Amino acid sequence: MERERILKIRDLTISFKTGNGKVNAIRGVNFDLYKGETVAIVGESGSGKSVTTKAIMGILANNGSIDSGSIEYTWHDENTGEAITKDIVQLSQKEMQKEIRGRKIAMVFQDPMTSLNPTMTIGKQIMEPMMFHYGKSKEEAYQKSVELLKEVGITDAEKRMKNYPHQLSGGMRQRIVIAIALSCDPYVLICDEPTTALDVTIQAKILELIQEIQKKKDLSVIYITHDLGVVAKVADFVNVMYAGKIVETGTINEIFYDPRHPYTWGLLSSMPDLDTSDDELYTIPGTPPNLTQEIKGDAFAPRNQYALNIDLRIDPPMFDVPGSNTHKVASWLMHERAPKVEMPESLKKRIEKMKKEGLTNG
Amino acid sequence: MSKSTLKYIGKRLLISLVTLFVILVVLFLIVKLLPGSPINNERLSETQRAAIEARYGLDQPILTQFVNYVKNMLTGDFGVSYNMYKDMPVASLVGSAAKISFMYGLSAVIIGGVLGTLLGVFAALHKNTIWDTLATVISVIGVSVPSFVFAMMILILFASKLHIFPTQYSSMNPIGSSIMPVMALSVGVIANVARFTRTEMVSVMNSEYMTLAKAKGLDSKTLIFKHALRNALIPVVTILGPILVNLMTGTMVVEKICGVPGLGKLLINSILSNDVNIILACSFLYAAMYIVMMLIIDVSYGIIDPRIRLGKEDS
Repeated sequence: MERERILKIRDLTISFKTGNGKVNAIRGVNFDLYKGETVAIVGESGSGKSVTTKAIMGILANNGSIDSGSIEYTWHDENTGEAITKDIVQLSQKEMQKEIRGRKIAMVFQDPMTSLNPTMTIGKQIMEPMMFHYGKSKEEAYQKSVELLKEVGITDAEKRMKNYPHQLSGGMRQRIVIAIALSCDPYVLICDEPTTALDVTIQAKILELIQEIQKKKDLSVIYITHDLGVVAKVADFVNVMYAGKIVETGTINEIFYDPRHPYTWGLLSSMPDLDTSDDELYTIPGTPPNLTQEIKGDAFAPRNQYALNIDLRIDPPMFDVPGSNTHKVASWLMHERAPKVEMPESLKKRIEKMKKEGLTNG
Repeated sequence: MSKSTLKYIGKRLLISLVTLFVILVVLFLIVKLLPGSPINNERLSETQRAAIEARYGLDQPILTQFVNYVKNMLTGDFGVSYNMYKDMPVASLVGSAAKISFMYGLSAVIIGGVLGTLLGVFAALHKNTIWDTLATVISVIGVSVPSFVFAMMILILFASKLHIFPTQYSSMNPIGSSIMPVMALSVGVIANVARFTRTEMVSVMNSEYMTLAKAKGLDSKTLIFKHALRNALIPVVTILGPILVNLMTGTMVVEKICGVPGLGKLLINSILSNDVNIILACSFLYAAMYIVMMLIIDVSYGIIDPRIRLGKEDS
């Protein structure tokens, strides 16, 4: 079956005006999202994961602006079934609000403790978007909300409709946030660290719920996370982001079993697991660069023990990994004339182990 | 209202009554300890003075006086005026004065509350622009300049120069003559409420749940009025009550300037002439109002903010 492309992001550049000058938060991001598939964006805090998705939603902070690039979104007209492609970047705020946001692309937020309106009942918060966008009657919206609540695994749905957020636990609130996101039957679901703020025991359940719903509704999902464990569980494709750029992209197996970028090596090495208890957990040395300044060469070079001279001068382009049309790496190490550099021994062992255990869902 | 809400209100009422009693004891003692006597006509002889004191029961031990006062108070009798309004019942004197002050205070709070909220929301939505700065300047001026200065300025402008409104209170024209003092009083309220609303609104607009509401694709009208305003106004409501009570006590000078026969004017005059029963009744009324106001605010707070709504079992 041919894959149907839903989102096509090209050369996205976003900057923020702050008191300390212009912050170049996103510096040329490219990625695609296909129907029914899951793309994860991984990276450290401040690498631009959230900013990218906020741009897709059109909810960038007021001081942020998209300087260049395009976010092409394709959907099928509800009546004619005809495919429509629009560049979200070119849409006005009004069009975004009326057509896209909430209706076609919905979002699950990080902290369910703060992302629900404390003075509005759960029911109202779920009913609101469908009444607003589709002009549903109160009864219709109520019925659908109760169904949605059941769907996201909330027992006593009718009773919960009357509850306020503070009367529910964190896990339940996240289920409510998911129900709100699903209320207008979106095509794309963006999950911004949906489990980070939750109890470990709840995390897996929420991930399973999102996967289950994704399958049932044939949703395309974008996961933002810094947790590679989550990525391994849910993603089909992974984009590793560093300092506002995607430095490595590929299928889940390519990223986990055959990582090529030293930054990805660092991320995988710094993943805690049960066997590494005797030595210290690996951390990537240094800190991410200051994005208010012009970055010369590869942004990761100062923290990269494998950095080449050219890394300090010229930003590496995306190199195709031989033998794959999905795996791409932005590192000069991939150049044919670059010295051959192997990933660290300890990481190799780790990957061997992961392969044996089948850590990923791929 | 649920059972436990009623229980809570009952408990609060009981505590309020105890507080009021303590206040009454303290007030009574302070007033009795005041130098001088309410019977201060210098032409009276010692025996005449003693006779008058006996007539009012002022010769009895302080405890008896207090018990009698409380007994009468419970029947609504706050004694009589000793010298300002000879033998007039204090209850009706204070009552009619309080009515005027209350109406003035309430009007100023309503006008100031509405305008202040609008100004605050406006400033918050135009954060860090020239409009925000302008609104901030207005509210800083409003907070720092005392209301009687505004009263004077308004008097000069509207009454002396433009002759639009009467300068002094007149019972013939209660509404017209109330415009200026109410205007003067509401300036401070506008300023306070605007400052408070702006801060709250800014933090609410930056909150996660507003991002979620925005992500739902709601328009800005719905966002501001259905999601943000209510959350921003909860803390504002808490300051309205104390503002109202402060206005009623703080109106003294404005009442004096505009010649309003309100509570402030009555209290000042009664202190000057040592009219003990009026001092007691006025002070007691202020204390009672304050307590009732706090009670109303606490209860209404629970109605607006479900998080502190009582009597709903948490799951």
